[in-house]
Amino acid sequence: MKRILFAILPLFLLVTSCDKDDQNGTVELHFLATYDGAPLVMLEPYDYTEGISILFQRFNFYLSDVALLKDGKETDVLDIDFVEFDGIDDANKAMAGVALPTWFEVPAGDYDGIRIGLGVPAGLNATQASDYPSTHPLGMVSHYWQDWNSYIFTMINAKIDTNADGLHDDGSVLYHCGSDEVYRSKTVNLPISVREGENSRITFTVDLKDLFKDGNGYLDVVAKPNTHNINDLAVANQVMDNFRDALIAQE
Amino acid sequence: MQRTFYLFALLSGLSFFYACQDDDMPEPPVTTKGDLEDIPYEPEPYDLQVPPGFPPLEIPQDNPLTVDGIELGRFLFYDPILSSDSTQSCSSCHLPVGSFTDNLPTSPGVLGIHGKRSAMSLLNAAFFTNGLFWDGRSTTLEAQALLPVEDPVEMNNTWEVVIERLQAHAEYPAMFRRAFGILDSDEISRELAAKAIAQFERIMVSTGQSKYDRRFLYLDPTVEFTDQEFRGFDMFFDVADSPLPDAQCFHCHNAPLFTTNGYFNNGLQEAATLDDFEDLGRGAVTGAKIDNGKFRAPTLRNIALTAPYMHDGRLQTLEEVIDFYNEGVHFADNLDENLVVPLGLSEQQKQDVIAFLHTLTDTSFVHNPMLSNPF
Ligand code: HEC
Ligand code: HEC
Repeated sequence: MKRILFAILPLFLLVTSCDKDDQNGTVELHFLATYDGAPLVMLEPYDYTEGISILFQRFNFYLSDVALLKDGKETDVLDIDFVEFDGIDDANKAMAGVALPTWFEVPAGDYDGIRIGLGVPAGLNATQASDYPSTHPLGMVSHYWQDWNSYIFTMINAKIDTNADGLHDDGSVLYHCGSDEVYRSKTVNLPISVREGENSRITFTVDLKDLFKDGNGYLDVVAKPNTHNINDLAVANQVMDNFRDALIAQE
Repeated sequence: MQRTFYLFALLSGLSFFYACQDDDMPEPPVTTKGDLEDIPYEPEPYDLQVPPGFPPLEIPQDNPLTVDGIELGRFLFYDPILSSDSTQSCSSCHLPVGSFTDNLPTSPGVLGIHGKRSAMSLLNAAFFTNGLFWDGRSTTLEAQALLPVEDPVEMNNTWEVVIERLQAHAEYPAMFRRAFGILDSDEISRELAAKAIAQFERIMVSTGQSKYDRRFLYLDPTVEFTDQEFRGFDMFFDVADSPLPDAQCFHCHNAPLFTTNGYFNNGLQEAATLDDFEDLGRGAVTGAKIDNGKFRAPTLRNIALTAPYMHDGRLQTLEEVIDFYNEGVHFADNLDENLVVPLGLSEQQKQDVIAFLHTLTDTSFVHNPMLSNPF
């Protein structure tokens, strides 16, 4: 009997290591971005405030620490990933949005909420891009700012036209938000049902214009074109607050 | 009966181990004959050292570095046998002295015809993980190495001819055997040749002996930056508490490799609309108009050794490069947003940035005997 077991065990291991647990379903994280209600398309001019037209070239961010919630208990979904709209060059692509390629396996069941982090949590933010292979979301040298000892959590890059000549060459908007202080976490109450063997898609929508909110108006991007100074995080904090508040989740 | 059981047990155990094993060394393929069988195949892994702070090496599993593989690659890289009239080798356009460029705006191939782009430095090629060439049209060093041989403006040959020459050669069959364990000269293939060249290119890594590396990666207390080099550093990296202007360089040429491997329009070409770039660059590869006129930001390591500059070699000196970034950038809708606002560097500040760029020079790399011509 022992011998049979000995013979079968390795085979069994071989088989089970490739097997999926069928008590589980999957969740897919999907993102849509708009600007003032219209699909967000790169290099497409949008009205900003009076007299300013804005043309976006990059909108991307780190997403981290995602968990499904149920009766106060957490089911981990994702540690860190990167979402970018930089390649969205027409309205169809914008309306299709960006979905993370991985479907995350979680126990089937009815959840009552989801938590997500915007940015790189402090533990991971203590590492740097050269610690990771190029395929890892944290391996992007373009998103590591040495002088800040931080990743760039959210990058919003645009050019503006302030003299109405149709050329967006009058200035740039470089809102690079990074450092532990600007990390934001958001919890959304949302019924999410994950069925055995099935995929549930959770869609997050964000209106990029909302990220510029300032009181009853919008940030003065001419006076404050960038957030490059780590010693002055006022705008970065505000943009990240706005981001957290603007994000809407739906199943 | 008992024996069968043990055998079964052993076999299934083995199958388990094999399924999980990571094949490190290439296995010799099985053939019936073999004119090379008597030559020993004893692959010795090559332990590539990279400076501290560099990203992890990404070496394809099916082409591990071996001492004999690298040596074969070195011979192939320097051997004009690859070109149609046996006058040109890879090293004709990628010379060690120029950090593996040829210091020409564009390079003549064997027919004397110039390609439209400038030869690129191969320094730290192992880390070019986001596409090769100015436009990223090739994805791996193995795939890239197949192209120059048949390119009409480069070696203008065919791989059939090259393989015949290699098979009939006095030395190469044994070298392929030692590198890849083939049993017969018939098995010499373009894929194996490309693998060997790629292995050789992967060891073209910074030595860590540049002033910058000794100061910032090795923290060598005997190396001090001058005030001018520090000013250049502050502008290059946009250091927050510095009163100097932001030169924006690091957004695209970030440490430690001094490139992000990204594609950008840095304003080099004048174009009325996104369709009008003389060289579409990345756009011709992706088919996306938004990418027209974008090129890969090259490494700035050893930049003092690789003039002339840019994809078409239009700028002769680093002074011209800084002048261009400071006051010569052409607007287009996809001009990188970091370069829209003029940098506003003074003459002194331009010199300071150039002084910093000189700290990236690694002459030990250029003189590394492992990378030199074996003939
Ligand atoms: C006639 C000159 C010439 C010869 C010969 C030549 N190259 Fe090149 N090489 C170039 C040019 C020009 C480019 C850039 C071409 C482009 O981007 O379109 C280049 C680019 C490369 C790159 C890409 C580097 C990077 O940063 O992406 C590699 C790798 C390379 N060559 C390796 C080789 C190898 C290996 C050989 C021999 C098999 C070879 N070259 C032969 C001119 C040459
Ligand atoms: C927006 C991204 C970006 C910024 C900012 C930028 N570069 Fe570049 N750089 C590039 C790209 C892309 C190329 C290649 C362009 C081409 O050949 O068409 C390049 C090319 C170069 C080259 C020529 C490299 C070679 O091998 O020929 C040098 C030198 C250079 N840059 C230095 C600098 C310096 C110094 C700064 C700061 C003043 C800077 N760059 C800022 C993207 C950038």
